[in-house]
Amino acid sequence: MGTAGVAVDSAKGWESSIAWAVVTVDVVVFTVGGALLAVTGFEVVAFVAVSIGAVGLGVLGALVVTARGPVRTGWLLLAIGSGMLVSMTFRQAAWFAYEERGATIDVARGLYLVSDVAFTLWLPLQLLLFFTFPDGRLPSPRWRPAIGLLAIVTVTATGALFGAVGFIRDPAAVLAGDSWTTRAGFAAEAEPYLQVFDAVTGVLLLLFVLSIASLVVRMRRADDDERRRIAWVVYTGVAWLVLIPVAAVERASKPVLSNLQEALGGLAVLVLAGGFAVALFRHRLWDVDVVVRRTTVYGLLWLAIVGTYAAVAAGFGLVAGARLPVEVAIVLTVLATLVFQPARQHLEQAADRWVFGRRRSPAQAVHGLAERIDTGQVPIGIAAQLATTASTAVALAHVEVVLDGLASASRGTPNGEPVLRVPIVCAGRRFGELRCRPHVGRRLTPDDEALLSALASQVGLAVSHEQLSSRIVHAHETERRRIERNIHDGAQQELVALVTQLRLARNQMNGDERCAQVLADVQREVHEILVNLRELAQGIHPSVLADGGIVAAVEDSCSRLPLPVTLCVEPSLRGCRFTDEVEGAVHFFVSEALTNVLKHAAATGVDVRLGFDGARLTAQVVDDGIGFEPGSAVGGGLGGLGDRLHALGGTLSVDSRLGERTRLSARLPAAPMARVSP
Amino acid sequence: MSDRFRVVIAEDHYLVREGTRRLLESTGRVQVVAAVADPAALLAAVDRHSPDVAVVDIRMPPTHQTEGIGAARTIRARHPSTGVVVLSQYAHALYAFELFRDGTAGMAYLLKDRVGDLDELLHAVETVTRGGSVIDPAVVESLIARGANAPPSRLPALTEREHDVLREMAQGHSNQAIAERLYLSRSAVEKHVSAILAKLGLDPDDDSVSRRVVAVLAFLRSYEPS
Repeated sequence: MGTAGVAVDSAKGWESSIAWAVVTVDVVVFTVGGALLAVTGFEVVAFVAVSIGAVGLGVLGALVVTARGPVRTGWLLLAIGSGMLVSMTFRQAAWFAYEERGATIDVARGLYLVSDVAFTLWLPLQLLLFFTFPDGRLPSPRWRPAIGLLAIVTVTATGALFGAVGFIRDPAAVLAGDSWTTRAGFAAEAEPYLQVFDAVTGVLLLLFVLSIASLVVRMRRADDDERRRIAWVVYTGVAWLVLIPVAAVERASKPVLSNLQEALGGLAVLVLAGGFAVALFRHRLWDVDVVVRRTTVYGLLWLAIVGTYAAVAAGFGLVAGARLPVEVAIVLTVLATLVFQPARQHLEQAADRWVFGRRRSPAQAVHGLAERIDTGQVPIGIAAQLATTASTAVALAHVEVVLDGLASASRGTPNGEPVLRVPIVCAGRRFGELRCRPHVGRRLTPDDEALLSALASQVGLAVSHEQLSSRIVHAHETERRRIERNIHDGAQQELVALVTQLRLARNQMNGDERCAQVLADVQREVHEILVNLRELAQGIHPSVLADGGIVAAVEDSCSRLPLPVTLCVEPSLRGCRFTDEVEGAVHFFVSEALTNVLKHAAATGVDVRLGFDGARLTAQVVDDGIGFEPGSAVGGGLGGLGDRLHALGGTLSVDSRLGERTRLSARLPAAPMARVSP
Repeated sequence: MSDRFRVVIAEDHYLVREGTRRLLESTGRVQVVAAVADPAALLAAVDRHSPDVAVVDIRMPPTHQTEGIGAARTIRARHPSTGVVVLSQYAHALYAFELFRDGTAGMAYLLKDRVGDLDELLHAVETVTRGGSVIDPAVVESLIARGANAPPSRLPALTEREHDVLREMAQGHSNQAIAERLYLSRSAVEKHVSAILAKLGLDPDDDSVSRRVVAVLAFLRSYEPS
């Protein structure tokens, strides 16, 4: 079902569809009433004012249902609006049938009965709305008797109505005048029913005052924020309190409903609709505006489309009503309304897209988050991304993302304990929690919860992946150190021991020059092996890196290069030590970059820079060689280099073109651990 | 014999420890008074025996990194009459700098392979006993070799002959010994040493034993980019 200005892609479910179907039926009823009005000219002011207000209430109700506010309140608004429309239109129908078409009195009685039953129902519902506003619940259980009384009054009044309707003598008099007070148009047998009706009307007035009192009580108890939100509806109730006595005084002085009385009745309904509209849109009651995404441009467009729609439907009804038999006109009007419905729907969607661009559906939210995780910083950035995505995809008052010991982020203002806690997990490991709290009076649907949990699990996956990568790098680094240590303390020591043995053996040769010479040669060879082994250990994990830090290790790498090297080190970096992974990655980057320069660049000089800004280590290797085609990725080392930096949250950038100098840069988040003596 | 050097050996690898002990003793000029496996035992042995020299492995328990250097400097601070020879697996100058940070007197930095080069080892033991210093030529050598490709030095470049002399100085040789080893006249060596000291910004008239190793260190440091 098409939606009036509602985010087209927001989750609606069947409730929302039914709500908007009811609104469409309301519009149909409204246009039928309008067509009848064109013929009868009966109660023009009351019909126009009440019906427009009633359609407005219905639309507001449907919006509340769609925006997943307190659904009960949304349905109440819809029911009240529909009741008003049915009541007003059947009054028109009864007048039309009896006065214009000379229908039998029974037909008139029947149409009148429908109209008044609708009235007798919507008025108590209106009180129920006041009693249960804004969260769909009573302020406290103490108010329950009032609701019970309201139910009794409603049933009694409806019963009295059914009883009295059979004794209507003059339907025109009953319709036109205040005959429930004056008894005009009723047969004498109706008197007992009318007295019952008088009695329940008194009780109803009392209940009405009570319902306004309940609103005032609620407002006094609320915090500032909630008070601002419900204030306008309270003002509406108070306005009604004023309007009703004025209407009563006016009614007592006139035998027939006056224009002023009609206007007062219409005003009351318009004030009600207006009060709710202000509360909903201006003060973000139930966050309906988040769903509607009210903007001036869109609001005007929407009004234009709905207005044109109503005008076309009503105009068609009026024209048809003037030229065709009314029954045919009504059928045609209904048909026209239904036919124009899809057109209105499409126009609205087009306006929606034009003003707001494409909306973020749940699928888009999940997809968008996935994209940002891919390019974003884990884990600090990802916590913020999740908070933003969650709060925009599911309109929350407050959302907080906590990645245990890693990062946290929040959106909105805290307004109490979280209502929903979604664990951020992956493969049984828990990384943190997504805490959500909806706005006052709103609840989270199963769809919302499913979406939030999908978002959380995406983040769980990303964090798990991230930790896995850095664990792999860590394991890699640890393993290299272990191997280096084993070479130094194992093979190297064994060979040194062998050297001492050889030397001792030589000492014991006692003049056997030939044997001594052989042993000397063997000892020289072992010495060579030792030198090679030292180089090997250096290549696997430079001891200079472990003992002297990144600057010493890079200096060492540079000094080994058979090319003029200019090394420029940020002074603050001297003596700084970082984690093994960070130092290993930067050293690996410089070594690989220098190896690439030697192998491919045909350079005559290299420029190496190390920088540190307190949060980020940067290393840059620039050669004056022949460059390479970007994308051809000279040397397999570059891919591995990128992986290793990426796993630690860093980046690698390659800047080269064929025939030009090559610049390799690495950036890596790093925190200095301790200073060592230089 | 009273003219033998009294030596303590600290080395955690059994075969190397025993091999070194037997080698040193086989020269007849060394008496090994204790052979231990870790820094704590080393310090205790030095306290007890007050040896002429401690021969110390750079990698020892518990972390197998540079415990030997720390132990060497502690010994020099507590027992000024005990010289220390540090045997190292690392050819990088970083470790030599670390050893000589607070002073060079009575300390030697040798690569471990030197245990097979008995004369060199004995020479180092003798030199530190006199309060002199030795840096393994391989450490100097590697820097000189690399320096040819990347001269970041802010000092005037040394000539080839001056490099040769510096290398000998690093090993704690006297001018007379250098002259004999390089087949030069003694006055030529003296001229070269003065030139080296001047180029390194040191007082050319003060060429005492420890001053000469300071010169070597200054030379090595000149390769450290600023």
